[in-house]
Amino acid sequence: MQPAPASALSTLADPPTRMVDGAVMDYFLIEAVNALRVSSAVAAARAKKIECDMAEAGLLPPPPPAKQQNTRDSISSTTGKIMGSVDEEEGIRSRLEAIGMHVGGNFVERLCCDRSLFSDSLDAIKFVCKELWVSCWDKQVDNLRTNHRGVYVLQDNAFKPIARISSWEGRQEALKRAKLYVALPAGIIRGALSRIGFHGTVVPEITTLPQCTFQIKLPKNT
Amino acid sequence: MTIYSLYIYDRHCACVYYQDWHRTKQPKRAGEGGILNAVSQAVSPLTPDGVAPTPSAFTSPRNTLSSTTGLVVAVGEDPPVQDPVEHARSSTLPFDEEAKLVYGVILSLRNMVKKLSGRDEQFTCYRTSTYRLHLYETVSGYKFVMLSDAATEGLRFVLRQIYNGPFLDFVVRNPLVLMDSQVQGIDNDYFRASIDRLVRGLSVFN
Repeated sequence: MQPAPASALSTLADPPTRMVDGAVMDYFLIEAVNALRVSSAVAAARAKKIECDMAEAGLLPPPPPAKQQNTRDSISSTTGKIMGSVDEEEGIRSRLEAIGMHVGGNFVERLCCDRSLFSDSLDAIKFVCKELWVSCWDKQVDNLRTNHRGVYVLQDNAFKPIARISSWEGRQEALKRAKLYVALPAGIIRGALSRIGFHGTVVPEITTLPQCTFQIKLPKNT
Repeated sequence: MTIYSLYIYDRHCACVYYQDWHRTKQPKRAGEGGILNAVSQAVSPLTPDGVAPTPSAFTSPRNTLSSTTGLVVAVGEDPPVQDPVEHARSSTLPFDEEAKLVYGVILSLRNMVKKLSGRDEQFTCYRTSTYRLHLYETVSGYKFVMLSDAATEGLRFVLRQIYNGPFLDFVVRNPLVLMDSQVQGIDNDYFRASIDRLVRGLSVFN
């Protein structure tokens, strides 16, 4: 009777769950958003420069003038500025969602290794609401609604990634800035569902901090 | 027994947070450029068009102890309570000067203690006839300064609780707060609310 190989085998067969420290994850995500902001600004500037170069070389039509001084066009110039910042936000948001999709897909592989196949999309959504939420954010989803035609709304009354967000400029400003920090969780959900086999879209929405809803649209044939 | 106010300074020697509970005189607003942006709604300079910033829900009700002369004659036997850093001519300093004064006091006392007793000694608290000042300094250079009445002891523990609780939760782990920036303070709603709750829940708070 040799206990050593038996315990080594059992560790291989049933590996202990690996965990990530919650505080470390918070710090990492804060820095990740800042780093992605810088990198997406650099990428946007590079794309703009290439466009300008190509326009000068005559390969592209010249871009519309960005600044105009007429009162009539004052609206368009302000929308130009707003569109600029929206584009920048969009750049960061899409990068965060892409990272989330990778994380969600790989994470769900590990979570599902002992499970049977999912019978239908409702089953998959319930899995997301219970197991994925518990593994990532230590609680379950508070409310699940569906129209039985492929649209599911998941509501979490105290969503962990945005639970600490608070700004000196007031609630409205904090709410606006918090929209960026739910892009990664939305990506995780989307990546998880996609790895299970349900390819859809996930749209996060924050009405009041710290309450957050995710609207999931899955294709109707499943 | 009561607690007067709390100042937090960062390692760049700037005041990044201020909150008070009992003061005889309202702190005068800082001049333009005197203090950083997000220190406290109550002492920030007014915007150029004269509109005061929207008051946070947790500005203390100063009219519990305020009076026009700056002295409070209480109903009981307590001696009159004076604003500890009140100017000699009883005109209030603007807040940025007051904050710099407080910082100067603790910095000089800290250096003196270290020179006298060696680098392991720490200055923690001093007491005058009307107030007591408690200091808690973190390894990262944040200094938590609390002023209380002269009879209260052991507030260093409370400052440490503030650091471990509200500060870690709502400043360090808050994505919207820029720590260690030289242009902004650390004021935010949740932080202010949780410190208020903690301090008001203390047994020494009247």
